[in-house]
Amino acid sequence: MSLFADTGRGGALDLRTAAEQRSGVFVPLDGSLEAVAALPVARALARLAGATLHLVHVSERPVSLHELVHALRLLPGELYGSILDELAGTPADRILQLASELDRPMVVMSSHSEAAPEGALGPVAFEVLQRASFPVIVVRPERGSGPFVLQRMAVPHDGSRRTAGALGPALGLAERAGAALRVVHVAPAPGERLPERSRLPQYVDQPQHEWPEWAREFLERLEIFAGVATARAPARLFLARGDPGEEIVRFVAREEVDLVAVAWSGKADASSAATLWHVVGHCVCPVLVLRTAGEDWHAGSRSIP
Amino acid sequence: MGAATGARQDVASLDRPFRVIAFDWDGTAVMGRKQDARHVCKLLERLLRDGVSIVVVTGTNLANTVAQLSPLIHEAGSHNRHLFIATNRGSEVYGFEGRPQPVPLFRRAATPEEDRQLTAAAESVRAQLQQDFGLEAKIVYDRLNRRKIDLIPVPEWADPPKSAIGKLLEAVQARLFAAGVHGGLQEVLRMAERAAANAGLRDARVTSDVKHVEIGLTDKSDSVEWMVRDVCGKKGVHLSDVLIAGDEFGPIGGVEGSDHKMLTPSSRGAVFVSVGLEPGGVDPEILHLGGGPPRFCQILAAQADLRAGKRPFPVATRAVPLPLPVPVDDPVWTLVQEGVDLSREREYETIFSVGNGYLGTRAALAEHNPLASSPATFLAGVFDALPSSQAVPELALAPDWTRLRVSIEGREVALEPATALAHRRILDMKQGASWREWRYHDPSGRVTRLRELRMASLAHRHVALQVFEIVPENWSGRLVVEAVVEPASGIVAGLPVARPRMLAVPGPRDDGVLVYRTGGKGLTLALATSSQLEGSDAFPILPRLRAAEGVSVERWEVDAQLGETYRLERVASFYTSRDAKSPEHLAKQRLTSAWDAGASALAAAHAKAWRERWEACAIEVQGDPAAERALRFAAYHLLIAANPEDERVSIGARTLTGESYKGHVFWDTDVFMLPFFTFTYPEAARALLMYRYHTLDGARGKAADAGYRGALYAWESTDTGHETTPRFMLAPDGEVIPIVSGLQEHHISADIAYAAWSYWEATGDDRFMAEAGAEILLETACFWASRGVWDDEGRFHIRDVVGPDEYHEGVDDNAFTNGLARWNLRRGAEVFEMLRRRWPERLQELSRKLAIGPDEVEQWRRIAAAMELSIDAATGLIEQFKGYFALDDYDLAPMRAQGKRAAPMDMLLGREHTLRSRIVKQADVVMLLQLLWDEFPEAVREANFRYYEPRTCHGSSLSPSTHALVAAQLGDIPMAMDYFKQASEIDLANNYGNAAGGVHAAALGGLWQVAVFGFGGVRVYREGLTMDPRLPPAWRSLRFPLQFRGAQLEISVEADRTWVRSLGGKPVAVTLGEAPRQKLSVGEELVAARVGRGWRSAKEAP
Repeated sequence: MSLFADTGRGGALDLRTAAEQRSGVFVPLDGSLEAVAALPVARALARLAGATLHLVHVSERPVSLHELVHALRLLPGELYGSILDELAGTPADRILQLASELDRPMVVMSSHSEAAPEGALGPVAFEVLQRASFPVIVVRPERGSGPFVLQRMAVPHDGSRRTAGALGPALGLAERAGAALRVVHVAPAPGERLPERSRLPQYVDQPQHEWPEWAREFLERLEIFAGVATARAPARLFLARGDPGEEIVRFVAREEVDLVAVAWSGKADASSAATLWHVVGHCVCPVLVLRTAGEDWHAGSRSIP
Repeated sequence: MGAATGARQDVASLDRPFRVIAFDWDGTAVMGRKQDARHVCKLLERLLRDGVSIVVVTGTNLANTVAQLSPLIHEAGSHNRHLFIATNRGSEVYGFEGRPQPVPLFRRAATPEEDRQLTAAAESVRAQLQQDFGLEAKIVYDRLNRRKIDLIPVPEWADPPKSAIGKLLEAVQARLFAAGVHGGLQEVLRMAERAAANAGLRDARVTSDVKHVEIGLTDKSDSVEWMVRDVCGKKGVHLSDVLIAGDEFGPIGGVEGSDHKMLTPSSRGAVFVSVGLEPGGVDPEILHLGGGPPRFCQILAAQADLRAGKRPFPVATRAVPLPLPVPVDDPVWTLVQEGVDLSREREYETIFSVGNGYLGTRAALAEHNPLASSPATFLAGVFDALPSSQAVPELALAPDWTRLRVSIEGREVALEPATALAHRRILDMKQGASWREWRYHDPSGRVTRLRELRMASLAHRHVALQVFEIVPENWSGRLVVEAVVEPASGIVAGLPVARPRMLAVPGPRDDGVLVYRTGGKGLTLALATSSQLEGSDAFPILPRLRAAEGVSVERWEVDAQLGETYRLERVASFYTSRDAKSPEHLAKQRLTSAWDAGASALAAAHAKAWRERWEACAIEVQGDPAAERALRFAAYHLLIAANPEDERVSIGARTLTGESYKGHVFWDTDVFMLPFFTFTYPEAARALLMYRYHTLDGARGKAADAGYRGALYAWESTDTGHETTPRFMLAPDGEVIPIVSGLQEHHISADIAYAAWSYWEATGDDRFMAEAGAEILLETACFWASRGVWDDEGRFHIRDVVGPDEYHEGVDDNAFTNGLARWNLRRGAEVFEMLRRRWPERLQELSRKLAIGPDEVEQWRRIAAAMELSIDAATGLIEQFKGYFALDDYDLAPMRAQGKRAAPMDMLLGREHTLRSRIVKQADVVMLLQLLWDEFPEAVREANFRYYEPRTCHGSSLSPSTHALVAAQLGDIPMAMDYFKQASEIDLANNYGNAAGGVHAAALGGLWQVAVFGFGGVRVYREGLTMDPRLPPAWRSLRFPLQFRGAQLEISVEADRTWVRSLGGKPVAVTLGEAPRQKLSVGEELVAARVGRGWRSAKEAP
């Protein structure tokens, strides 16, 4: 399973091989230092995926190439191995349009370019994320410009088939990078009411036996939902209890995760996207947002009566 | 022309090299003339190069035969001088003399007169058929020295395959009978003989291949005569060194087969083998193996191996396969799972497992599915640990002997929802077999019916059988089948397996036995397997063994025909270094005998063994088929876990059906499972207790390490009896959880003592008590005396323990522990007295060995009397442990209101909160009531059950059945039924969510106890058996067999009538309800009628 979503244009039978299909990693740059922070991540992922790196600048009027390189604050050599696309129009529209022309696109972008409230996305990033049907990676500028090496990857999971949909692409990427995969299951905190289809153990008799078995069973079912085998990359299950967004952010920091892959239905309302906004706004590592079908993270919980 | 050839043959007669091998070609060496014969040619070439003379005997002409034999003729070079082809039904013989061109060696040429006579005879038969019966027949004229009369010249029978001979015969006979030829084929033969004589032929040979009646001048006897004269005679080969093979020796339609002609006076002394179907049987001097050309090729391969100095891979010397059993069509004896749900695949694989106590094999997908399926075979007692200081021993994964790769026209068959038109699993509990039926639909539209049967033989515990049938429903084409044996992959359901596996022992072997070894202890497994594929034109490629890698692949490539059935049979034999120093020989030997018997015989012996077991334990419940099936399911899984032949193994918590709990043995076996065996299979119960006896040293070691005397059994035990409970574990939430059960759950010592005593009380097995049971009871009593402390007020306390309620750790005076310890001390003292009275020498021996004397025993009595176990005078309540009543109360009623009877409260509330609460994980005081029922007054039993039941969250699968049993004994039948249902669904409905790791054997044992002890009201006292049945209203009757003190009893309970009948064995005392005790002898019956709440009984003569 590829990290890159297939845009599937036209619905016609595409007989080209994967190698013949065009994949690209697009990095929107607006001339700010914050935007450039996405570059190391994008470059590393393009290399891993064998995709072309596109640096995209959208402005109202075209400028000369020399001026543009300067305006984008690119260091000498940063353009090497990439294509510079200069477009005119509305940034989000043009970025999405350009990406959609390829068979397998992905956008890697900074969460914001100017001072934004803590944990908030900039307007372009928000719009691209909301409208993109393909994978988007959001990088917080606080990450800085250090090299990006993917060694630990996390996939949060709430027990649903939808969140399992993130496993396949994440696994493919982890496998290419030789990274370890951490599946983190977030369940309500002790004392809180469990959702109807809780994936917590229904039974823990002898914990020394039940816990490892439960973890194994959990991963196995996840694999069946996702249609992939985690044996391809070393996977381990972790359990977190509490608010999903907070727990994912905490887990990412504690385990020093390099990239976290989050599944999202695309619904931007507060109850559906609360976890996503929290993760995108607070995770210290880049966040890969994958569009999957189904309901979003369970919202809230009540105490056991 | 035929003649008896000598003594009855047996399979051993093939176990030597022959110097001359003569055989029929069509049907014996190949299925048909269009078949690719390269494989058989290669085998023949090996033999020719070794100087073996090969004589091919065929009815057809040279050109047809040479076309198939050309690889041999051209590649054998000078060795083909030993090759002879006898063609045209004995009329010609050709040799090669080292050249690729045939050289005529013999020819019987018909004179013109003979030719005319042959034609006249054939035409006379045809005319008679036409004139007298209106039957059209055709004559084939262009055959050397013979004429063939086609009795069924219709297109559908133009070129029938050999495999269709049965159907062909039916069609020919039907045609003849319909025309008025009432003597059928035989009558036409007689007609031909008369016609030949009338035509002037003096020594006409009249034969039939069913389709034709042939009149000729020669037959196969002439070929054999030539061979005896010109090959054996010239080379000086004795007839005993001659092997003659065919496929049609026996009669077909009353006419002897064409190969029968090869039995001549001069061939007497040769070994005759038939690989045909032989529906009419064969003479005793012919060894009938069946199996067609694949079998013949195996014989050739074995001959070549013998000549090369190798021991051949088990020669396929076995009876013709007969139909295998089909699943019973009775819902209370079967579990059926329809459809494909890969997310639940692993739990189905548990439930549909097969086993026999020696080995257990999960019902994993034979074709494998790396994501969904967990193939696993476990061998009881084969424990090993991973190389890590933290690792504990666990059951090692044995090689996967069930793997099959099936491909149709190059596409590998795999189970997926999209390709399964239908898929069904059936557990046939009655016959101890697991079935799979499947209609596979490949993306090209081919539909194939597949069927699999697995058995782990209950008759021969080292043997397992797999049968796999493939039927092309709408296609013909290339079918490739591979029967694979390989080490457990290390990847199960997509995850790397971090557990001990048995890996291949490097180094080639020449006996076909695969040898594996565990990494730590170096336990060895010898696994011998053999397979065969039966089908209409199966083309065999013999086993390709890669012994150095521990992998064997037996491969067949078949041009499969639409509608034909291709049946693979695989027999596997397992022996380990636990069984013998060199298990290889035993594995090979057992395989050979199993293979000789054949799959049908294996299945029949297995079914017989299961019949015997079910006669001893099947419970019938009229009015509640779900309950009856659940009880059968419980018994099935208990039976496949037990092995009365091995007293150094016990039954793990999840038996041999899954990896959970690592095969470790807990109190589950002694308290929950053992009663089932005691009352239905005492030999198995004894073996389970002997395991505890043999692990006493481990228990003594654990007691000594903790500073105590006597025997403290391991909470988790494996092969040695040493404690194998981990001390810590890392939960997925990062919490390090200390595991104290290995340190504090000491009640297990009393549980085992209780089990040993109960077994003895129910069976009267004095030998067990004297030899083993007494030592267990004395050593455990000794432990308890050293385990507790006296207080200033003269009370004896046992502190810092965990009771069955594992939510509360490090508690003092746990009621269950103290109650059982008190019982243990008293029984220890009683056993001491018994030994003194009945077996004084044994007492002397044990007194010396255990350093126990009368003073100590007296002290045990004092301790028992002072044991802290108080009952509140006002409430009748027993405090579960000191301080329990001061904990926070917590109402589980809302959870119950939601329909949840079980929940992991430590998970839901958090560990700390649970510790501070009165929530009980599983029956604790209630368990005490169950085991020591008579030690507590009725009011105390009632009060405690009503107090603790609402506070118990059943966080263990052991709990619901205990509550069902106690509720039934208290007369609360609705609640008992509620818990009975809950216990019955733990595996069947996976209502604890973890059936994938193996069945919950204790819950299954508990279920049996609910039926027999709860609803059946059976209790054992020294005086005899008592019964006070309480039938659930929905149950019209409950009927069960029971073994008690050497008597075989049958018990039936109805709402207003109960009877106990003695079917055999010793007289026993039985009390029904409150009626006086009566002695019941063989054939007698005790009948009771319900009067109010009690029973009135009367002894009745049969």
